[in-house]
Order: sequence, then structure tokens, then C-alpha cells
Amino acid sequence: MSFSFKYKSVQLKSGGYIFRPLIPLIIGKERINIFGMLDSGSDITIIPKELAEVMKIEYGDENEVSGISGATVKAREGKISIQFGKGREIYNFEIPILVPEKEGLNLIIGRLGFFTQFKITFLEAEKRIEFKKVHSPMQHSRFY
Amino acid sequence: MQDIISNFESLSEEESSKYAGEWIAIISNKIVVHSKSFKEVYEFIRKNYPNEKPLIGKLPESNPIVLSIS
Repeated sequence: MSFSFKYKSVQLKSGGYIFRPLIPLIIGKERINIFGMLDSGSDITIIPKELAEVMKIEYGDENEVSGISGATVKAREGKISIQFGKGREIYNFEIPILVPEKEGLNLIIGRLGFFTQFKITFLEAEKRIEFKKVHSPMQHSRFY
Repeated sequence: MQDIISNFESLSEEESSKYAGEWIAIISNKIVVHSKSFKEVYEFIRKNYPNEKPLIGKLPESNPIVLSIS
């Protein structure tokens, strides 16, 4: 059993097109319907500060997060519940998150806690992402 | 879960391009509000669609991106 989501395309300012792996999911006790970018290069899910402010998040320690440029930003650890799937395949689980102090970020779905739930295939030629549920014996409640 | 999928799949290339870099909210397959401010989108929904469950999200910028928070 598997399900997939098509990439979302956007026209660049330069005139070309780019395709991005956005996915819809329901997050938090408030069951907020939201979409975010699936990013295999991110260690952990990043929740934008302004979104986190309207959610009841169970916070843990303060941490730091580094962007690709190497600069670090303070961030709070937490965890949220997620509902994700399509059709008859709907899955519920918790994932660890970081909420950086900085505003204006995108919702990034990173590996920890999410990529352990599925075999995820980025089908670039077909412009879609395929998810196949796998047995996930370990639940990560902390960043590390 | 069906509503969220339907709203998500209704998001077109034209809309993704037009509102790139903005927060949007989709109800019944239509974008009902867009803004660079999440709070504006959230408050608009609370005020005008208190009984609806919109699909909310921030569309990535219309430039090639490498993910960075700095």
C-alpha cells in the first residue's frame, strides 16, 4: 500500500518553472490543516514561530538550529501530533519539532520522527512523492 | 482528512506563483485570504469563517531556494 502527492509547481521570477514537494497534514491538538515542504535535508521539523504561537505545544529544552549558511538561531524543542495520509491510509503519530525565534520561516517537514514512519521516494521525473508506511519501532520524543 | 486533500490538490500553479512567499488559506477549494502575515490570515479566518477548517500554508518564494533559516 502506498500513496503519493504531486509536486506543486511555481513560476519563477526568471520565467522558468520549479516543482516543490509540498504535502498537506493536520497538526497539533488544535488540528490545524496545513501544508509544508518535505525536506530530506533537514534533521528535524521546523514550525514557524507565528504558527507555534497559536498552538498548544509541549515544549522542552532550548536549543539552536543551523541553516545551510552555518549561522545559528535559538530554537525551542517541542513535540506535536500529526495526522497524515491519503484515502484509506491515514496515520497518526507524534514528531519532535523545533520552533526558531526568528519569524518568517516556512513549515519544513524534516526527517526525525517523520521519515522513520514511511519509505519516502522523491520521484523527480514524475514530479511526485510516494509514501509507503513502514513499521516504526522507535518513537523519537526528543531531538537527540 | 478528505477536505484537506481536496483543498491542497486544488492549489494551482497560477496561484502558487501569484501568492509565492505569502500565507494563504483555502476553503472549499478557493483561496479566501492571502497575506505575508500569518496573524492576518489567522485572524481573518477566525472572524469570517469561525466554523470552517481551512487549509493554511505559506507558499515558498518564487526564487530557487536552498533551505536556510539565516
